[in-house]
Amino acid sequence: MILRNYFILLLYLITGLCFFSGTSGWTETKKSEKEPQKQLVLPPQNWLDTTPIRDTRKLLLKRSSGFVYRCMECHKDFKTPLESVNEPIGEHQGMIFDHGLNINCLSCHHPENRGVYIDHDFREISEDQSVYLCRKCHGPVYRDWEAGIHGRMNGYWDRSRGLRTKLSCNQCHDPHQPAFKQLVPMAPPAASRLQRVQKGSQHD
Amino acid sequence: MTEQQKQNLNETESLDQKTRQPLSRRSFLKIGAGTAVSLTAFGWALSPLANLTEDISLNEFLQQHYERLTPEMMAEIIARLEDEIKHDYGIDPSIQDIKPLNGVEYAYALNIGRCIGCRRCVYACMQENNTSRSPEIQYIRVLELEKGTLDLEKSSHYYNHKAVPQKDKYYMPVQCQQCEKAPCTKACPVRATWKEPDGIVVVDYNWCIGCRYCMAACPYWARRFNFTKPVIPKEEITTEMAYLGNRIRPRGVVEKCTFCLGRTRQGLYPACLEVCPTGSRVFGNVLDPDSPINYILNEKRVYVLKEEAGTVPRFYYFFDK
Amino acid sequence: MIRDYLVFLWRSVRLSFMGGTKFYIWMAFLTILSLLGLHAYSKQFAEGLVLTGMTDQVSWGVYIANFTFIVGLAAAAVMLVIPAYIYNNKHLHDVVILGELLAIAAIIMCLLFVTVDLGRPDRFWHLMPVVGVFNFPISMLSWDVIVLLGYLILNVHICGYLLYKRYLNQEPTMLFYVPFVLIAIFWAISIHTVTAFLYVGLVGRPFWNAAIVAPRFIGSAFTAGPGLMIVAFQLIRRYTKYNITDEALQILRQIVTISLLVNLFLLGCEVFKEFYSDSGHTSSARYLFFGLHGHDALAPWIWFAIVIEVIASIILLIPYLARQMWFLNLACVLAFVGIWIEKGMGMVVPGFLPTPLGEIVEYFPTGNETWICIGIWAFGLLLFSWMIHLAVPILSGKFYHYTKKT
Repeated sequence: MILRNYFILLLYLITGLCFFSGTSGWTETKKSEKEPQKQLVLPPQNWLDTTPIRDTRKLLLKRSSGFVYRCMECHKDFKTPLESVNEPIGEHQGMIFDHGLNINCLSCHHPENRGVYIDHDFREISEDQSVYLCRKCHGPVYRDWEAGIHGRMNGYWDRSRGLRTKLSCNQCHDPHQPAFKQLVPMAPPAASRLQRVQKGSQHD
Repeated sequence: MTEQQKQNLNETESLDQKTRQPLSRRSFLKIGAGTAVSLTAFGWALSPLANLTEDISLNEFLQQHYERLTPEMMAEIIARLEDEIKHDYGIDPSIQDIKPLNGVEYAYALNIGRCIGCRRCVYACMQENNTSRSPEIQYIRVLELEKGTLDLEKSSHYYNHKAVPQKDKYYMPVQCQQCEKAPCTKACPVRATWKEPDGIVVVDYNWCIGCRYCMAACPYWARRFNFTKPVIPKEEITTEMAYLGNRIRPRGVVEKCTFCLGRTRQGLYPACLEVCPTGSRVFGNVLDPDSPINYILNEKRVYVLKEEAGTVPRFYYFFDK
Repeated sequence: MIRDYLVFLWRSVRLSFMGGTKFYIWMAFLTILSLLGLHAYSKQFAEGLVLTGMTDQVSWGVYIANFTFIVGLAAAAVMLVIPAYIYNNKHLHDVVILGELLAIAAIIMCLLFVTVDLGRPDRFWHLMPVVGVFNFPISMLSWDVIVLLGYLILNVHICGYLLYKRYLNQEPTMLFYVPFVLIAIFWAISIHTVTAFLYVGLVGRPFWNAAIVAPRFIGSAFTAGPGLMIVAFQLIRRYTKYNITDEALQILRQIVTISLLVNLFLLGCEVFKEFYSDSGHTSSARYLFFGLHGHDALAPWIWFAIVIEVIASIILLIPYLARQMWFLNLACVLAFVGIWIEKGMGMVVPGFLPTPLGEIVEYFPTGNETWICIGIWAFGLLLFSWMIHLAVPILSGKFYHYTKKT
């Protein structure tokens, strides 16, 4: 019957329209940026290493042309004006100063005694109490650090069983350029093993 | 009746008659030949089973649910598992059944202001938890989001920049939230996954039947399935294992983050927290009023993912920057 | 009595292997396909589900899609029971048993699909109460196990009892089958509702977490099931000369028509809700119908399914066409295929994509997976053909106990 044939034709047409109208994304071979070639990246081998990033014992000593001497050996003679700003002159060449709005050396260093830091009213802060220096300005972060939620933690959450590391500020942050450098991220997750190459997607 | 109908009647009647008669020699031979052919065909169909690499011992087959095991049964099971892992992976494991601590319920907080998206937590987790490298299983998925939106659909999972953090992006690692009202524990038909008293949702890998209903139920995409036997390089295996935690899983079972219960139930930090270079992660006992985690819950602006799902997660996100 | 039953079983075994040439060819073809499926499954059993296309992102695929669809067929096969028993329609009584045999074959296919989907089928016994741990009533899968097995047992009992009594030429005792038949009516609705609730109860999957899923399931089941039965009964009528009246087929046609219209209406409700509200929860529907972020593998399929369902409903609504067998069969086939797509892959896969974390990893079944599906479908058809091959001679009085007549 004629009607029957029309129906069959219509079905073919619909099948064709649905499946071959250009939505067959899986036949394209353009490689999506989403799947970078994945190398098997080992995690940091010593991820349990709790050594602080910065060893601060060298801070008190200054090397120059092979000699090592303490800050006061120069600065008992060279007085720094109170309003001087960070300038990499003399022995301080090669240092980078990037502490945001804090551009005055004497905000942190004591003008009379370079072996200590300065507190309000010219009081002294010794090296082992260096956190008191940073907390002068960084109150919220100091409170977090005191509560134990700032900074890298290693060890035991359960203090009755063991210790937890608590690093002082300058064991991670370089006081003259405290912001951290960017890190290279570790590899993205492996693409699904059967991921067909798709048309490039909106993100990634 | 038409001729055709008569013929059909005769046909079926004769069939009926035929079934009453005793077996003739001819039909006996036909049966023999048919059986031989079908057995051969059946044998061919089942032949790939010869490649079955793992033999399932009777003890493993009969092993009961974790909550029904006595300490003696557990000791036997552990000995058997250690043997199997030694045989399969070439290392000398030591598996412990570590019970939850009393008076402890865990909570985990992550400072998304400080997370830089370096993914070191992901790989530390893989190493600690002995997850398969091929196919790759990672419990933690770090999402890169544009500042200004929390729409996870706009997140990027596969970012591969030269350096992180990127400007105008923030990073949010997602792992099992150990929900207080977990949809996955409701879904499991055999109760292979349940919430322990210290809040960790665990899986008994020797009880799971691999139906993956829990994976469909999880609102955080936190669960992973072992589509095949895990492949782990020998030198990367962590040999101290916990029965409900990081022991090497068999194939065909579901696994997920367990807050490193092998470590945390001994008072240590989870692996992801230990390796985080920015100290963004905070973990502790939420029942202890002086713990850092309680400080965060009291002082910081804290939120949870998909709060409207009503799952009451133990994993919080906060920001202070 | 036991001896008579054993003789019955033995004769049935012999009758199973006796038939015309077409019968042998059909059964051999289905057996070969089943064995190929078994071979593919053995490979999967040996190596794991890594041979399928499923991933952590889309953790259920064609196996569960087919399972969902076939549960509907099983439920609908009992639809004939209502007019036959409640409304006492004489034409339908003999056809009811054929419908229930279809239900048995369908339930066995469902159980097979679930088994091949399991990661550890060797741990099946963990589901049993007492020896294992059966998480009833909290887990919807445990409800599903109970209702499916119960339905199987119900139908096996009803069919076995009625057929055996007919074989003995004795009146079946009402007490031994009528209550079960009535229970089977409610049980049929419940198996499909419980299967729907598997999906509805998941808060993490907004595409499924809607009350309309359960009515959609019932609506689509009662379209596909009777549609299949219309075609199947015509084939049975032609190849076994069993008398199935056109009346029975017309009643089925009415069921199919109404159910198809209800199904399309509910689909329309779903589409409106998704696309009018246009919230973040509608991403799965967007992915299904239009594709999302360049991934659109499912879009052609769902549009095809909807279009052929609409055509089927138009055919069924025009009396001139609906009364002609050729168009009726076409409508049934179109509705069947459309619902298989819409309820199978068109419901299971979009529920998983985008993942709860917003990712899209598309799912494509592998060759091995497809062979297993083909194998199970072939096995189901094999079972159904075998049962019809035994039941029809019994029902038409050609296969009977020796004390019947000379």
